[in-house]
Formats: sequence, C-alpha cells, structure tokens
Amino acid sequence: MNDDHDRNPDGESIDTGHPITALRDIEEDVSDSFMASLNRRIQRRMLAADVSRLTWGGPIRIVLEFLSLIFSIGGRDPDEQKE
Amino acid sequence: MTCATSRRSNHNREDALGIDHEITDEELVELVRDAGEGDLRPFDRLVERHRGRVLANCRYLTRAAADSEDLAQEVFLKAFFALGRFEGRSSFKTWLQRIKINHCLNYLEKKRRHPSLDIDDPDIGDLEELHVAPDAERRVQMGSERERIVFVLDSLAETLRVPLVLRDADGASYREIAGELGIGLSAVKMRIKRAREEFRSRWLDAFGDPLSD
Repeated sequence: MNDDHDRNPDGESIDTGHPITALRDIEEDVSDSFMASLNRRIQRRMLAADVSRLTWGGPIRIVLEFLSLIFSIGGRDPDEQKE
Repeated sequence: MTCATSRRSNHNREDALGIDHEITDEELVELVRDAGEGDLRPFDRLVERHRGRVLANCRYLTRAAADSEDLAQEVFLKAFFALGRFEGRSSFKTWLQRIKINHCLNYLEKKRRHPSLDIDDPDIGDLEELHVAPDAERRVQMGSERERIVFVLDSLAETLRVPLVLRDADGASYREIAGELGIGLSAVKMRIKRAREEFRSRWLDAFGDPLSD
C-alpha cells in the first residue's frame, strides 16, 4: 500500500498534500543550565537506585548466608561427623 | 544561536572530551555502556546532538512552553536508563524519537485527565501563560520563521497539531502515527491533510504571504 495515497472506506483516494517542509529540521535553543540539570537528575536517580539496592541487598544477603550455613551443617557427611 | 555556530561549539566540546566528530550515535551508545555509570561524557555528547530537536518536538507536540525543557530532560533521562535495552535494530535517533513521542503523548493524556487550572486560585492572574498579547501585537513581534511556525502550530487543535508534528517534524510513518494515536490509517491521513491545509491557510491569514515550501 502506498504510504501517501490510501483509500478511505468509501473507496476515495486520500492525498495528504505536500509536507510542511519548514517543520523538518526545526530546533529550539536549550537553556544554559540544561546539561547540568540533566546530569544532576541522572546522578540523583543512580544514587536512589544504589540506596535501594543496598537496602534490599543487605538483608537478603544475610538470609542467604544463614540458609547456606544451615544447609552446610545439615548436609555434612555422617562419617565426617563421627570423626 | 545559528545552526553553524551551534555545530562549531559542539565540535569544540567534542575536542575537549576527546571524542571524534565523525563517530556515529550508535558508536557513542557503545561508549556510554563501556564508560559505566561514573562517566557521563559520551552520553552528554549524544544529548548535545539531539537536544535541539527533542526540545522543539516536545514544545510543538504539547504546546507547553513552560514544561517543554523539563519534558525534554525526562526523555533523555528515560533514554539513559533504557540504553541497556537499545539493540540497534533501528537508529538511535528513531529509538529516541519513540521515547519522546510516548512521553509527550502521556503528558497530553495526563493533562486531559487532570486539568490543573483552578479558577478559584487567587494567584491565577499571575500565571504567565494567561498573559497573552493580542494577536496583532504578537505577529509584529515575530521576526523569525521559527516564531511564526510556533504561533501557527499553537493555533491548531490538538487533533490536527499532533499528527502533523509527528509526520512533518518527526518523520514518523502513517502506520506509526496510527499506532501511537490509536486511530485508523485513513483517519491519520485525513487529519494530516486537514492539518497541512489549516497550517498554510492560517499562515497566510496571519502573515499575508504564503508559506515558502
């Protein structure tokens, strides 16, 4: 199907006309503080992610260590225990 | 700042960062990944390349002059934390464009659902956006073509403005626009056709001379 000419449900061809070429490469000037402000936002977000990782990571690690300790005691070879 | 001046200052900054001018966006994405979280310089370079267009599109899509810089920053923020999922199947520019379109359409949707203007607010008269100069006065002040474009775009209804900006400024395909707006392909084409006609007609009415294409 041609991208510029399509048929509507009544079977008529839809010609969308010429593009507004002035819109094509238009840019706006950003403020001087744009980059600094963006970098601050990125660093704040990274810090928040680190804090949340540590908050959850610490207790989870302790539980895992505890479980592995229990399994290592319970799963010890009986001959090894007699000795 | 003109395009040439802006490009020159970007090149000077690239020199300072030790980044080759000819490096592609996709190579810069690799540099961002390799640099880790501590070094934002390659990402800064990507932002510098695209910020002007992202800001312009956020401004034209949402008509929110005061919020557009904030929106543009949020687009780059989302892009930075989603870079790990960029697979390079499309260009970085197209990928960034998709993030921007989704973010701006979400913003418009939120604004529609939660209009934030409180007419009982005693400070309402201080709002900058309510201080609109008469049309004739605004037209006299509009020296540059960009200001004229903003004036005409802002006068279009959202149903016409959004598909027009997506098509003629962003270069999105009709199918992409239909998908983003949740309407049929024929409806998209009809809206774009009407938007282009309205844009040209309003330009002529406002400035007396036809838009040079």
